[in-house]
Amino acid sequence: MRLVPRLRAAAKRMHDEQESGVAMTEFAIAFPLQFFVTLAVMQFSLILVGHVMVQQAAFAGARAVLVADVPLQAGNASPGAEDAAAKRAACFVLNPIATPDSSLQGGGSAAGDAIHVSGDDRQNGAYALTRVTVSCRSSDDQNYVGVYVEHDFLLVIPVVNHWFAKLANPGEFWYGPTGNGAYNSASQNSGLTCLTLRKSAFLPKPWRGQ
Amino acid sequence: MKITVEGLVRAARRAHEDEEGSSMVFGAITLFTLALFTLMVYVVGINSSARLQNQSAADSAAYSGALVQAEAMESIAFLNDGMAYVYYAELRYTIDMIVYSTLQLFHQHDDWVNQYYPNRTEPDAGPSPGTAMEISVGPQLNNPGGRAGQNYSPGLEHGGNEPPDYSFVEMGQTQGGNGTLFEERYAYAKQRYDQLVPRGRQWLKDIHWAERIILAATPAMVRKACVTVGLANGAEAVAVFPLDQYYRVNNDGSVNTDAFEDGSGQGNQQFVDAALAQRYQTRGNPIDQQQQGQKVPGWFDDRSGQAKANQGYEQTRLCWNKRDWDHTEQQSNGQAPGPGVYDGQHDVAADPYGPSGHWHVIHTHLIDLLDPITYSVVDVEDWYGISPSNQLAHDYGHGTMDGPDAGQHDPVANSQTELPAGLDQYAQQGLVVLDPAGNANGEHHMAQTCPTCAGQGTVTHKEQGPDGAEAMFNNGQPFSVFDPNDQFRPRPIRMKAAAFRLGVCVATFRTAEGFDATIFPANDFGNLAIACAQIGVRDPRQDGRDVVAVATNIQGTQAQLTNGRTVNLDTTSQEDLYFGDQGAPGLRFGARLVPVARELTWPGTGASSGGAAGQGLQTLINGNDWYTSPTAQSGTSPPAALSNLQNFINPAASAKSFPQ
Repeated sequence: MRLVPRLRAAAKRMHDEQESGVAMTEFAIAFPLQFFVTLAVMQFSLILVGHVMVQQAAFAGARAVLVADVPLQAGNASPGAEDAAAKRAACFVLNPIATPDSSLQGGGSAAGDAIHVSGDDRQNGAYALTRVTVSCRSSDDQNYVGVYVEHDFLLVIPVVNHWFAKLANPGEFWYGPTGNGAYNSASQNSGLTCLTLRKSAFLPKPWRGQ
Repeated sequence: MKITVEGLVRAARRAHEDEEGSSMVFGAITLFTLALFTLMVYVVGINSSARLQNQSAADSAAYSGALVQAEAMESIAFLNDGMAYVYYAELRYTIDMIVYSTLQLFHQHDDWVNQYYPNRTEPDAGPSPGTAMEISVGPQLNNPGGRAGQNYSPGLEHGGNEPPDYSFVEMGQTQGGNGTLFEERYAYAKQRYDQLVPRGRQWLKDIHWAERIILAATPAMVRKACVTVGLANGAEAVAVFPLDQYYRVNNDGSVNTDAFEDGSGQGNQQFVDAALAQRYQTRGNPIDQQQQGQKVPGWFDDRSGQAKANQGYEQTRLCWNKRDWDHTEQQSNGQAPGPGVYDGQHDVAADPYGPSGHWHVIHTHLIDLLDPITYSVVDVEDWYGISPSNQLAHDYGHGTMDGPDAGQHDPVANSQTELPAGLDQYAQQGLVVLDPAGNANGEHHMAQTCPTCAGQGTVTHKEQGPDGAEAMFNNGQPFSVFDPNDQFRPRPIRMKAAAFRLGVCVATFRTAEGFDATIFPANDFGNLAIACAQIGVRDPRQDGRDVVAVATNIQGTQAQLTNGRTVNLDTTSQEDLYFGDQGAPGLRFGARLVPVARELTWPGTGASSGGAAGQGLQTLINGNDWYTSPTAQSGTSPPAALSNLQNFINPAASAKSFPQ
């Protein structure tokens, strides 16, 4: 049978007699979009989780600053103790959402924690991906302590992570090995796709430390 | 319908050919995924919120408990200060009583002299080196010590350097005038001593026990504050580190000495401790309205509350005047008695402080002669041929205690010199007696001892002294702050440096949040938060946000604080445990949150061996001090849901230990 008559016959059959394949076509068109939206919602949910966790980390950091002017051992408080305590407390909270990659530069040791769950090597990742700034110290003559936390939240959902990274302000996120983020060389060079989340927390301090 | 193979084949073919619903399946999967993630966000968010709330609950609870603790300490410090002030007032009332009772004795003495020998009290004109003059005591002359131109100065007799202030101890107001000043002051002093000193004793006792009630109730009040605040902020159960043993008060009023001591007066139960006695002698007080307190006189023991046993209050009253000293009184022959007339008794060299207390009197007396048979008074001329009109003799009635001069008044022993010639033999026969109704007729110089000072020249208030003339106005008992029949002594509760370690450590627990038992169930560990707060020395500031400095190092009786201050907590320190107000030495207390992983946060056994934080956490979390109601009388075992977390975190091993 020659080819043209056969194609013509087939087209006629499809048009006249059957609709099989239409749904497949619709699926082929709709699936990528729907799948993308699904992934986007998943990633967005994770980002929301990240917001919550970073907010909690900021609270924990402020909580640590609140008491960090009292030295753990006899003697006067060492300079920088508040910064170290704030970062340690914040990273402790952020452990679950940080990468377990212990090779990240800038990682810190978990030693010195009041309560430390041994074997959790995410501590290094959290230290590398998090920057903690004490905005109002316990030793300051203020009614509160404040901590500002920046965390490079890992975007782990494929495809959409880059889209989320690009959608945000280029100055505040980066992706890939050559991303344009300027906040943390460790996470930038690691090739991780991140979105920087920023949260601050303030706690009342009804006493003066000094 | 009968099911046949052909029918099934047709149905299968229809199903294969019908593509309706395929997108529904895909949509369902998508929606399920989206719902799952949405729930994840919800669960994470609600758990995070709960965690923050739980930590806030723990913080608030610990801070509230420590505030209660700080208020308790401050209350005790304030009561100690009140105890010291009441005791100081008691000291002064008692000193008042001793001084004014003695001075009142002088006043009576002066009245007696003024009544019977008014010329004795006249001050002689012109100073005489080395002599003292008797000065009339009147409302304008506050000079009971007999020192011309000087006011009374407590402690002067003992070389004290207290500032001259006659009214040092006087708290009441006197009207004065008409010579009643001493009587009034004595009356006021006696009134205060009789009424206020017993009342003050009761006050001291009340304050003493009030402090102990506060101390004993502190752990329960702390616990109630912690549990109330913790539960109100969302916790399901609250654990409070047990502090009861450190605040224990025994039935006899003694306290547990781990963190406190009860001011035992350095082991002597008959004394109050030195700091209590010294408190208002060294700081300003409302009595004096001065910056510096007045010290009590040197003869008074401020710790036993009465005059020193061998150094009682003593005032010397000079019972002679310049004429006595110079012996310028006329003798019976009209001649001035020059030096040496009474040699041995008025020898200035032998007695540089002057003659013993006496005065010289000039007097004349008649004598009676007795019938040798009937011993009745007879006419002298008839029997003896001697006119008695110019016969001189002495009367025994000049004093009840004529002392060393008594012989001068004895007409028998001195008949040869005192009686006219010819009567000596009759005197030896006992026939010469003094005429009790005789009138003065001529003068005779003699010395007579003072009936008040008994010839000692002094009037002394020595409850336990040997002096014959003691001012004993208290029925033989020494004037004292304390009842001699009551062994009670006020004991201020003192703080040891270890009291700064009594951290209020709180754990709050609430179960984890989940969406459903199957879909996103709650985790098994629950939510545990720990917070510790501690008392610290508070430095009040104008804006109300005071500096609160907690201890960073405790060595012996000293505690070093975070602000660099070192607090001395020994038994003589005015800081321990008094209310530091208006610049006075003492302490104020506040509270603040402190790190959990800190040796000094936790009291008890870890102090010397290290690991106090680990042991403390172990006690706190695994102990039976969990509360689910603020009114619960005792704690319970940890919530069952906590067991998984306990096993997981192993509090004793996970808390950092310190080699301190």
